[in-house]
Amino acid sequence: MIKSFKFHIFLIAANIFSMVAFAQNATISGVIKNSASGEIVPAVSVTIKGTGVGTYTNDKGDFKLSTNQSGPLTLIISSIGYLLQEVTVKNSSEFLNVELVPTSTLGQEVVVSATRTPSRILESPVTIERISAANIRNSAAVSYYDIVGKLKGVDVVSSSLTFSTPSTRGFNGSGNLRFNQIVDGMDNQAPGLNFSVGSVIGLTELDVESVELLPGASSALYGPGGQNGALIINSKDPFKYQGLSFQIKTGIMHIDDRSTKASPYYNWSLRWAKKVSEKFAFKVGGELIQAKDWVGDDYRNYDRLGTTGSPIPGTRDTDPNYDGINVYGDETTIDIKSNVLNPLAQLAPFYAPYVNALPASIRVSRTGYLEKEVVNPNTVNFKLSGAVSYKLSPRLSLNAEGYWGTGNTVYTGSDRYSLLNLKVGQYKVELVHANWFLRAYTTQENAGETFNSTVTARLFNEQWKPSGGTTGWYYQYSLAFLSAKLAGQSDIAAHNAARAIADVGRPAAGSDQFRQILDRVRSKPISQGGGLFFDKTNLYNVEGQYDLSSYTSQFAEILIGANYKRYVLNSEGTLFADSSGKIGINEYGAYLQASKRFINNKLRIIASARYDKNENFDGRFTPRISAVITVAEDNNVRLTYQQAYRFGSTQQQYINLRVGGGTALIGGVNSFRDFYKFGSNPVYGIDDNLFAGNPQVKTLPKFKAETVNSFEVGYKGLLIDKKLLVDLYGFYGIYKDFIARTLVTQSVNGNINVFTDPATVKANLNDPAKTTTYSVPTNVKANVNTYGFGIGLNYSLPLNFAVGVNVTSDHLDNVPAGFIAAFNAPEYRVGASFSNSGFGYQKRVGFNFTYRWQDDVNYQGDFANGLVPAYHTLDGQVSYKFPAQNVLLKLGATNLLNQYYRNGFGNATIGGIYYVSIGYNIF
Amino acid sequence: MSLSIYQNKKIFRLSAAAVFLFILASCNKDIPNATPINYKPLNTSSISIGSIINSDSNYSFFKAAATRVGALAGLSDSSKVFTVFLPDNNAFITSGITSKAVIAALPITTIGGIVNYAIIPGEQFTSAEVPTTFPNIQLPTAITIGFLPGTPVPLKLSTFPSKRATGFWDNNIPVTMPDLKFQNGVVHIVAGIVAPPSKLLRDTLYNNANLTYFKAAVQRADSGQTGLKRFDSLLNYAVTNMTVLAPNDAAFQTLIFGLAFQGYLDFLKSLGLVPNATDSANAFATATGAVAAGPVFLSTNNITTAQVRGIIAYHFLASPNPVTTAYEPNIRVFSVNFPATSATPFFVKTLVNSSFAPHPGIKADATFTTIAPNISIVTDLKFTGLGTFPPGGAPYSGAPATAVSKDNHAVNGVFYIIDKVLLPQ
Repeated sequence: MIKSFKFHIFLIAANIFSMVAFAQNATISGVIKNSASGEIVPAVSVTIKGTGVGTYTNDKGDFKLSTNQSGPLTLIISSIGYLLQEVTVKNSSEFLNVELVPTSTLGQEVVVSATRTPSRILESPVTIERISAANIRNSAAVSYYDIVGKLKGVDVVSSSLTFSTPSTRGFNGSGNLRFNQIVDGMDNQAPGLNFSVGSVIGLTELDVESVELLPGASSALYGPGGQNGALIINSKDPFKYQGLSFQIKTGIMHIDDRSTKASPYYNWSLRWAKKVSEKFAFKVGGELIQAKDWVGDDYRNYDRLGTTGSPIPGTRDTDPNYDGINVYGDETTIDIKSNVLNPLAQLAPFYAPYVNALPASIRVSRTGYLEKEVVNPNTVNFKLSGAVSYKLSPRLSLNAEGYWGTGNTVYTGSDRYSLLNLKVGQYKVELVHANWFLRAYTTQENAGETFNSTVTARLFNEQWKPSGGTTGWYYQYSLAFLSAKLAGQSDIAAHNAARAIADVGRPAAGSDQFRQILDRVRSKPISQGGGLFFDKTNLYNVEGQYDLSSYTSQFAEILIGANYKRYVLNSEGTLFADSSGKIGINEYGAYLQASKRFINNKLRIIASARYDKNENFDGRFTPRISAVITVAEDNNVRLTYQQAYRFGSTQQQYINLRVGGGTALIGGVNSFRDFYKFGSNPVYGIDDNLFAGNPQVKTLPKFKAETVNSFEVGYKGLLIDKKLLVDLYGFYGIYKDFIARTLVTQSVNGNINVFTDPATVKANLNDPAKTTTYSVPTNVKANVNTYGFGIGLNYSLPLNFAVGVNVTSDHLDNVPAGFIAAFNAPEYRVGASFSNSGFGYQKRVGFNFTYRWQDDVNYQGDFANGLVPAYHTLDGQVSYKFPAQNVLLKLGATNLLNQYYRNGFGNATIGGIYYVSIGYNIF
Repeated sequence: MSLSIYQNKKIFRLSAAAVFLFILASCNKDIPNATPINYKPLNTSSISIGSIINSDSNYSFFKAAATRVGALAGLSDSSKVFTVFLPDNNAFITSGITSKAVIAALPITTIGGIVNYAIIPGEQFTSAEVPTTFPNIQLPTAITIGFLPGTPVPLKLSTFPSKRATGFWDNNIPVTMPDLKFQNGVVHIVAGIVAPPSKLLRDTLYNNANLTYFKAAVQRADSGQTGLKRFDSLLNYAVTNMTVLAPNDAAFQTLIFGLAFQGYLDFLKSLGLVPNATDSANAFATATGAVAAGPVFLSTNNITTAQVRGIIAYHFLASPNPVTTAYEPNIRVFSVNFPATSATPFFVKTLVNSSFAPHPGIKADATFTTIAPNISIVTDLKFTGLGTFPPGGAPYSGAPATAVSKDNHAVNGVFYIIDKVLLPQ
């Protein structure tokens, strides 16, 4: 056994360190064109049959291949979307003109993410969707991230123009913690902010080779977090995709927008890849997006209680305690009756009966500012990327890669955050062999000048006029209110008169004074009484994988891997409880996958297992077993059982942040419970018992990892002469130890009496002098179940026309009362598409129209809760190619009908973008 | 049945057209806007108080008065809220203003006082919201007399509605028709004009020719006192509520006569002598001389300051300060606020309780006369003190004092002229 192990180690080492010398003395060259249109075809794989020697056509369709083999040779020429061709070369000096015949790509794609090894998409053991570079090229979306949102079963929550978060099978939100996004092998979740930065920082559109989406659990291969799905994005190999490419999109948006005047949209992207030699290639890329952002403009009144609540009637003029959803600063509220008027009545007892006759509680909020007044409306996103690749041998490459991005955008978390000059870099170095890889990467996060709009606006108000004191805003308001009442005003008229007086001196939005105070507040860290969100949390990851199949193929195809991850939380007390120093969190894991085919390859069983340990959680073992049954050629049935889990996010472990209404978001690790003395000064559940004056002590058990057991059955196959691709799935998931947030409250002075009078409980809950409300991550005891199905039909019509339709559905069951599940998936959604990638003269014309409708959603989030109405969108583009110039013109629109909608409660309102683009050398 | 290629194309085109039209015709719901709160109307009436005064001839006197002082527009403002103790024309006549000509002739300040003192701004107090507890509720009227120091809050002259099973009053004026609800508030029709006070208690009491002994007693009681411990200062302090039972001169003379007469006889007894008829005659003469000395007697050594202070304190009604619980002269009790004579005697505390909290106070007995269903006034009001004269009688066994003049209203309180000095012990 030991001997065998040593032997394997030797083989591995030999693979790593051996340098194969090429004895090259002949060069084969040629050009490859599309047989239908005559246009050159870049990035076509050209390999010498029976050898590992190969190359790709460049951006002119040309290839050159050096070999020491004497002729005749057979070249295998392949590219997705074309029939594979074998060409015999008798004389290496002959220049080859090869014409590839286009063919339907239905079901022909190869995916990697389902098993971490290449396999046909039709034979995937789990549900998978794929977006190719060709799909992106023919899409109407302004960003490839938006194409993901059109895939079957996908929901997207858009915080802003450049910040969208895709999710599958529920738990949608801005930053889905149950959905992994992996770009070129790197988890691109910002380690401190806990959202995936892909749409802000990741690949530029021109550098995306493929996007693979795994709806459903994926922890068994990709580690903690992928309970609901994983998005795996791969960039273009500089050896394969060469030359200069650029794309300029210019558009217009905010047409008929109630918040913003019509304004331009710009998106410029560039990619340049160069194969310097057969061993060395590099690529650089950049993308700049500039526009006026979509604005959160839900000005409905919000009844806030901790991190829950709902919209209620009321405007600034009709509710003195108005708290607009996308209005900030008005979260500051007090009861002027108990805090000002009653004490005043004690000093002036002749007014006591009159004051007593006023409502028992008179809650008044400070005057807030609209989101568009607080948040910088100019969204800028600049991405820069580069990679070098050196072939140590035909099967071994050394790659180094970096992605860096910066920009302004808006993110919805516990509040709306203006991410100003956010900078995130991901840097990777890896050795990639045909059978294994060894990779190390880091994510370097810098929140820049990010600020919490709610906290900032509240502090802004305190800056220009403090709330408290006898010269404070509330005192002035209360006296003015009483004066107005004594002049005969009705309550609401008196409130409005009082507000006008208390607001004397209030800086007008956009004024110099406003800007000066805002800049002062937002540039001061939260820990020092400002709104600045300091965060330089980093992630370091080392991982490796080995495909042992070459040694074990007689028994089974076996894959092993392991990783080590270290988070270093660094927010200087503005986000995490790290005011006294950085917090490190270590996590490690290992996995194994075995795959074996039976019954003449008609049955394939794939079993995977993974173990992970986070220092704040018990270790987790997670299995996956799946079977693919080939019922007929190109028709497969898949059955999968898998378990997935997630440790609490870094924020769920260590956050320590006061949010909008004053609620303290705290982490789930035990040290918080000790720090806030939950043991000696108990916390009570915020429930019906509490509101009845019967508080119940809430015991918070140890914070554990969340697990889902997922069962899935699916079918994918080609029917009707391979023109109809049918993809069906159904799943059932059982979540155990479901991580949710629960609200508990604690008396500031340890006095239970603040909770025992039903008449004052709610007022006391909103009074920071009496109570503190905590939002604590906790595990739901009962199982929470999800289930759903999907049906997708894609039909390949003659002349390159294609039509598709899909229906998907997701449900959530068994959520105990009082827990905020934030499932946020519509019960039903429908998608349809009609496209053609090339028709007419020389197949120069293309188009694509995509329609999507989704049901309404009772949306829950830390920021706000409420109904997101059903909505539909139609995207469309028409394109025209100039093959000789390799130029693609596109006229497109997203949300073509310009029907404004929101896909997350409290998030931005999205309208249409109409653009023209010109692209050169778009692969 | 198979379809021809032509039919297939037609179906495809029609289907495509239908889908396209469906998409174009479908609309997302409008982005929801903030919706104003539509406050429930205060009352179902669509007529404002000002409108009814303007249109109902029963209120033409008040209309004339309100118009003259420019108050009608405010009462017609539907965005405002009022409670109005509205005197109808009969009430004006009952109060001696017999015609609109009189209203036109009266000084505008007087008319303004009548109108604005009837109005409680900003809140609607129906009869159900007026407490039945002793003595009444203090509410601001539309008459501004200054500002709360250091604030923009106006200081308003107060009025004192009250309610009992036997009736509903504003100050001492009966409400003849309560709870007429209009768009912007409620109106209670009153039997007479509820006149606003214009002077402080000190002015009124000191200028009353029948209360010269009371004034002298106050001055004697205040000797050695400072600030608001002086009754004189209290009577001159605008922002308080007091109820003062002021014995008239005859009452003091009776007391002085008795004290001098009894003092002479007690002096003889202290010498071991048994008074005879001559002694009685001498005692009578002494007592007559003491009375003849006038109010000055109260500043002589024939009576101590403490005795006078105790007596005067016993004539200031008091209740505990809700915060400090100390007894203070902070209630304004109109005659209708005292309960009717019943088997269960009613006691009201006095300033004596500020130095001796357990003191039972003064027994009050009111006699109500019903002038219409649920409308009554007090026709007789008596107060009985704990002490008797001469000393030695059982508590509250002496003859009660009768209020010979009731509900004399001043800015800072109300006073009653009584015909007997009440003794606290």
